[in-house]
Amino acid sequence: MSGIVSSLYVQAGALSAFGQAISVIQANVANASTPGYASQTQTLEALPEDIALGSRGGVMAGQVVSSRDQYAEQAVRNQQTALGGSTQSVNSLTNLGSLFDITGTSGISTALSSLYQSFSAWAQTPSDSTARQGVLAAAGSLATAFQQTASGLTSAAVTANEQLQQTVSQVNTLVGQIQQLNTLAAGGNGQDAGLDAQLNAAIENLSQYVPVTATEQPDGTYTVMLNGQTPLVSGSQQFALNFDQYQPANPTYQNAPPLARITDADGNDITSDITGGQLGALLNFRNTVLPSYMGDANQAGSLNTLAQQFADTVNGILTAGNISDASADGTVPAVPGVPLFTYDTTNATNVAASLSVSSTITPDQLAAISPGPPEVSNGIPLALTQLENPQSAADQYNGESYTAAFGDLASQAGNLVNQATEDQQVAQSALTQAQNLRQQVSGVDLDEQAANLVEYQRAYEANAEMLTVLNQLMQDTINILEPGTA
Amino acid sequence: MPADAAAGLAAVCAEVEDACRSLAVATPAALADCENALGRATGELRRGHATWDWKSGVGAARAERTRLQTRIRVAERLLSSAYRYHEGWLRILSTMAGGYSARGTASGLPDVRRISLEG
Repeated sequence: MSGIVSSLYVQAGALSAFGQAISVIQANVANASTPGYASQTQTLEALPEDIALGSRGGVMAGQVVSSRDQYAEQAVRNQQTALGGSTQSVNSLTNLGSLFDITGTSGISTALSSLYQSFSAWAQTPSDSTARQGVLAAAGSLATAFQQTASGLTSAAVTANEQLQQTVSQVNTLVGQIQQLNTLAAGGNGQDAGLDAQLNAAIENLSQYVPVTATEQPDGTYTVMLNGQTPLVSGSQQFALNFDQYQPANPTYQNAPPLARITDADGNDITSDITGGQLGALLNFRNTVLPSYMGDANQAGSLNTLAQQFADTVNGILTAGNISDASADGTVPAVPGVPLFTYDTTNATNVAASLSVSSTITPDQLAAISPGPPEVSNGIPLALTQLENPQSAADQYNGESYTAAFGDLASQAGNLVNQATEDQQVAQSALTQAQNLRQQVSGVDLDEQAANLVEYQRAYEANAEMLTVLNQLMQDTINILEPGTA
Repeated sequence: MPADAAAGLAAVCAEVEDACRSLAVATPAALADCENALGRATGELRRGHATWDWKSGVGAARAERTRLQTRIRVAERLLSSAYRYHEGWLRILSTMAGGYSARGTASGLPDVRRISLEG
């Protein structure tokens, strides 16, 4: 009789254990598409059978083991960070590229070309008031084009500041969610697969904005660090980020546009630690890309230096000329030329934004006479026309014409867009790869992985050779359009 | 009649895209496929360079060349990324095989009485 009872106990225990295992399997199937979910395994433990000790044997349900692999999770997070950063860069830089139109239909390039044409027309008829009026109008258009580009850069900076503020808020919101989930996890038994899925989905979402490392704690909570250095959440404690703008100490250029700064919960400046994700890309755009054009405390900005040097060169040529000659008897002196352009001389980072045609200059004040010797009646407009294809270093900007220099600024912006677009494509592929690799480790045990690795090692022995093939392929591709077709 | 250079470059690009697809999966079998695809791409490019018609459609050929360059860069990045991933895995497993967990604590011995059901 006792044998039958014992057998029933064993079978009942086994049914209960297998019932739990089936529940785990059902949960796996139901959550196959749940973001952040990792398949669970119900372990079954064999019970010892020892009649002398009253042990009936059978099986009992053991721990539920998650197949989640933190190494694979971190690899996915890293690629999410790369994709978030490159996507943000594409968005920011595409808007920047539109400010530098070199198609010849608008902007500085077109205005510069029109001004050179007006100089040429003036050189042909130096006394003609219409030609002189044309110079003033074209100069005004160029000044407006510089102002508009500078204004566009300022707007881009304002937009970037707003996006930085929004992104920091988004990061703090996500970190807050993780903190709340951590609190729930700490109150449970550390085996809630649904909670674990929510936590990992939130951390993966966060990794699009900032580079994070996450460490699972024995109680099921996660400690999340920004770039492995700054704590964002630990257990039930959240550390909020802050955004503000600042002027660096001892600036070379006073009144320059401020820079963006991110501080941690203790007020420490952690801007330089944020090297990736949407926030990293925004900081790079705001603190590196934009200042290279519009200036900051330590640089005037290429748009400002271009505007200033062009204005100074034109003004220098005009003021070296004469509006009218001296009288033959010398009683009436020659009337020297006056500057065409004015700008804010107190702030080198505000030149492009403040560039304008002198409000007091009139067409007949444009100096056409080059005093020489020999004196040339249209020498000044001729010298101004020469700026289009300058022969002397004094008329050049960094060794090239102003048109070419502006083209360089535009192509620099275009190259940044192209590079960001390519980075985005690569990051998208690398993210897919990391997700596939994570999928491969999900649901298999480490012994199986170890066995796989022997195969992987063999496959990767060919790695160096494959890189060589890729390098050769790239070299062939680069050379391939050269013969007779370039 | 020689093949159009743009079409030839597009075929090479398709092979490199195949290699990228294999690298995105990155299993040992997929890596072997990748190696084969890259070998075909290299062969086609070298053969085609001498025989393709370069006179017509230079603009299209140039566009295909740019596309090919981008795909090669993607393949390089995926190969490096997969390599780093598996190298990291190897380090973790080597540590565990040495009796330590990834966090430096002693790794437990496997429970010989334990079986598992997976789904």
